Amino acid sequence: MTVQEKYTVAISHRIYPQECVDQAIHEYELYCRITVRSLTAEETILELSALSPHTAQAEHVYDEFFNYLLDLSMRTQLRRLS
Amino acid sequence: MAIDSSCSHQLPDFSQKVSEDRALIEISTAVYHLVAIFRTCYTFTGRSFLFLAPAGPERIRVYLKAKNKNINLTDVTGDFCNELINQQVRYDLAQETAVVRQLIVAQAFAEGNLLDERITTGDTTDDPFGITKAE
Repeated sequence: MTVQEKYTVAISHRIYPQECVDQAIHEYELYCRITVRSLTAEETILELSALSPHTAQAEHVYDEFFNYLLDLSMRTQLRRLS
Repeated sequence: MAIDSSCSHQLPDFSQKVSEDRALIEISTAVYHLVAIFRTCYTFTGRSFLFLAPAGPERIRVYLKAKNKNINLTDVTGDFCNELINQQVRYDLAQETAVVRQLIVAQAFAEGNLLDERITTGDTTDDPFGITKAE
């Protein structure tokens, strides 16, 4: 599998709970390789690399991944806050 | 009211353009509750790509990108902010009426009467609390 250039982003667990991050990474393992590095207890760095045959639409894959992660996180957060 | 057509593609003051297709809105959690912010984001995942990042203890940054290139970024950010107000009002109303709603549900499932019997069974001419006599 060829790997597209990496896209690195820091995410906050105040917004994206850890369990949602783990689930989203698992759901997207066929589309991109995601490396997780803990920055602090509240922050994690994600390094995303789109996998073939999705490398041509890498940005779209990353956008969809973060929307999916947001979807999961918002549902979890709203359950906690309600 | 005169409309300057040259400004039609500029983003409103409360948001800024961070790239050709992405806008940034910074929201104060002192004004908008997290529930309102999260509900708004949840409803917008269908029409736009979103990314959230904290910007201090009481601020959240929302990065917005329209899913469809034909959708105007100005419209999306404007609609997002309107929906945010809508969700905040819903949240405030839910807080204000929470006690009444809990009482209605409790009464519906309770076998007895949870309210003071003098209120629910009294005659219309009764004044058990002496309201008419109060000064």
